[in-house]
Amino acid sequence: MLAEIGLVSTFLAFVAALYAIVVAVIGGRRHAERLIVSARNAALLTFLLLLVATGALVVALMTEQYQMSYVWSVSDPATPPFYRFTALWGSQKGSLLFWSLLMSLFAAAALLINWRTHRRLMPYVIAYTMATLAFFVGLVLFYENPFERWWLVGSQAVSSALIPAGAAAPTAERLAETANGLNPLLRHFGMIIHPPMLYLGFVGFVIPFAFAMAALASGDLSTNWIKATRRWTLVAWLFLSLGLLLGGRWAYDVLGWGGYWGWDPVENAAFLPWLIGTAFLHSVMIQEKRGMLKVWNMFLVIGTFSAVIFGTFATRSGLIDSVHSFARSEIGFPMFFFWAIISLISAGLILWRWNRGELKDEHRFVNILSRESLFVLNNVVFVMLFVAIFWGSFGAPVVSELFMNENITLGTDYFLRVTPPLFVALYILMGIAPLSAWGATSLRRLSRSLIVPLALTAVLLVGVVITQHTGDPGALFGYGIVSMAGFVALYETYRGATARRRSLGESWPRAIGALFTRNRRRYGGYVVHLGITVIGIGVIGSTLFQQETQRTLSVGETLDFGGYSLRYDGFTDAIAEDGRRMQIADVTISRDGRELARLRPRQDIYPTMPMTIAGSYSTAEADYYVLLVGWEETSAQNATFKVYINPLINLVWWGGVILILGTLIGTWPTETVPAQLRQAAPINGRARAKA
Amino acid sequence: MTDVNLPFETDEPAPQRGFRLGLGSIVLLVGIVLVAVVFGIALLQRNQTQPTAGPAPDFTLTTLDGDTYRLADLKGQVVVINFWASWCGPCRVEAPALQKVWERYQNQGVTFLGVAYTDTERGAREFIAQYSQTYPNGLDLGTKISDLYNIQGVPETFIINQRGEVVEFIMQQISEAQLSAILDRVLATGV
Repeated sequence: MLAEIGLVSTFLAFVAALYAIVVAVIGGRRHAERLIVSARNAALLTFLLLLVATGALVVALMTEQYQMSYVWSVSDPATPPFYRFTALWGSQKGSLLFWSLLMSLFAAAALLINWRTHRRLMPYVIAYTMATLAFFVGLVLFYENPFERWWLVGSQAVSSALIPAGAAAPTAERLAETANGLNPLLRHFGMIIHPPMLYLGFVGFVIPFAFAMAALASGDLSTNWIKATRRWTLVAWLFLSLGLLLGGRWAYDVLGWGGYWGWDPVENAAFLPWLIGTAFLHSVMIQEKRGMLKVWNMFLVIGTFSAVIFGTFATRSGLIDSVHSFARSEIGFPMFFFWAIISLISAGLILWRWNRGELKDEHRFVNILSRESLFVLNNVVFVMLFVAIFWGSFGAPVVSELFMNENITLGTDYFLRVTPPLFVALYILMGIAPLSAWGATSLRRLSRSLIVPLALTAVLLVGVVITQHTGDPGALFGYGIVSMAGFVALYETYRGATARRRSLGESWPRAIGALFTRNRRRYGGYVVHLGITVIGIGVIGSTLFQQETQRTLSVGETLDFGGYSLRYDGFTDAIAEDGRRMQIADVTISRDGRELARLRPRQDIYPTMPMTIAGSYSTAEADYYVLLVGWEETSAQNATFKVYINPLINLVWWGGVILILGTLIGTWPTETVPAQLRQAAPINGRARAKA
Repeated sequence: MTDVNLPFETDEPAPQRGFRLGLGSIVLLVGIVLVAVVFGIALLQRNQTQPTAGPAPDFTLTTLDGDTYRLADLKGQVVVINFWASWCGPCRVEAPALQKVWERYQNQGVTFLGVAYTDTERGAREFIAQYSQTYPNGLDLGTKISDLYNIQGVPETFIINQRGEVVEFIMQQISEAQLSAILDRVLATGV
């Protein structure tokens, strides 16, 4: 019954999306209000229908309906309820349905929130979001159906969405024995939130894309569309950043190689849209303030979405081999065509409007030190990063295989050689651009505002040299560049607050509070910059100063390494509730004779694969990260440990928290005037002056 | 400025009716199409699978003993092509079975060709010596033959009938009974 409910409501959602596209386009052309409203209602309905469908799948997972082949493939009787629920995105079929649900949620939210403010764009926003949704729901229905059931035809078990001729239904109990269970790698807290966040980030970019396409299609190319787009981009960017951070944390905790970012194609596929999206969030300001870069911004918005679809296609089609690539599946070709078609249509539309002179810039670049010039430089660097990473993860492997008949995979070395100079350039720009002014800035003014941040940076570097005894010029240069950007953000906030204190006589907390409420975008942006700074320091520390060693110890023996000592105390062999076998080593970490922590690095042996779970002792200074890599089979008198000391790695996570906080500040709605009043009073000029 | 407007000084070009593309636009569109074509072909290639029917792709194998075998010259015989490697566990399991079946069928119009996939000559020779294999075995230099058959791993075995068509593809280690049964059938019926 659940399979039928899910299948029928998914199908109805597909029909409703198609209906919405047709009626929205007709309504938009004829300016027929009733049709447009009807299209909107159909679009809202897709969300409810997909909610029912997803609900049916969740209920099936929770109640162990192993007749459904999806339930059978991602859970088994030993799976705890919590992971039964998260199994919804445990494999391709379920995750595509979940992805569709989130996309319809975004579409519904955009239609409800922006219905009045962007009325003229709405028919096309409906058409583009629903076209994208229809594509994904179509994949769910025709290629990767999570509602397929097992059937018995003769003695053979087959899986099919509908009843094959002469088939009999097997019982759930019979299938339970053979059920697969959830992929062990996904049984981790980070993996529970990481995919939904990443999906929210990915599907979120459909809204900016739809707004851009709607502006192009309707010809309403005023700066109006870009305001809604900017905010939706921030929302998507927030989730994507969170997804990337959680993914890194998951890799660090579960994959057991001592790091958080491996430059794997799947990771890069998620990082690429982040890069273009970030470039857009900066260059959009130039369009808002100066009416420049209109064509470029269009390309960035659409490029971000195109990168999302490309990444999904490349990682889910089996095109690229990756350590954690998803199973090769049928959806490669449909995804490929969808990606090629949206890229071509949108590029064509932009060129068409441009050709008609409708995307002409209102100002010209006058000064190389003006903020807009520096933002353009920032965009150039972001795009270069994009191209370098795209080439390394997708271009080179594919081209080499096609034209040179050998498979060249550019490893971590390539990325560690190519990307650092570009990141350095980004951090330098992050330090300078906020100090420059729109239109023109003199070198003198700029250098004057740089004095304090530079002095603070110098003090910090001297402090690092004295306390850490490091003279590594590369590291000091990196710390300097990165922390300068952070000091600029802090100092600018400080300057804003002192100005308020001086002119209005406010107290410190009040002045800072007022700064943030009056200009969320600007100061939220500074907080994000601060977060990126903290992440940068963490990355430099943990990459350049990571230490590792491997040693076999007997029980009672001690390993001295990096100022810490590790004692191997004993070994436990246990069976967990969900059936995995846990081989646990007990170790004690101490420093200067003082006991710091008892850790239990372990290996979880699942029927399908072993997993190495690290034990880690975290301080602000470093993580002491221990892996159990081997032991003597019978007595475990001897065990082999791999130890990493990852300095400053926690700054990566803390920087992430700051970044999320800053994005929230910048995204939070500021409008306190009700929509009706706002429309009545043309206060555009004042509102702009404030922003 | 007078009323005379030189063409290059006009700020606002009259809206054009036709859609004329500049060089940059053409480069951009061609670029997108090129990227799409490259990835499309790559995807097509990725999705190619091992041949399970139809004419077997022709190749020439130079054995470790220095003999050359061309598949097209072996028409009229049933050919067993076995892809293996000395580093592959299942290949070691099936090696004795292959040798046994070879000994039984070599005088009945059956040829075996062992193709070592990404292997070193030393490794391959040790493997052959260890399992006393007597049928023709050679290295697949540059994985040319493996690419022709789109193999995805080792061991993989193809059975070619007397007319040079693929009749059977086995993507796992093969057993003595399974291989004998297939050979009996192909020798008798040709399919």
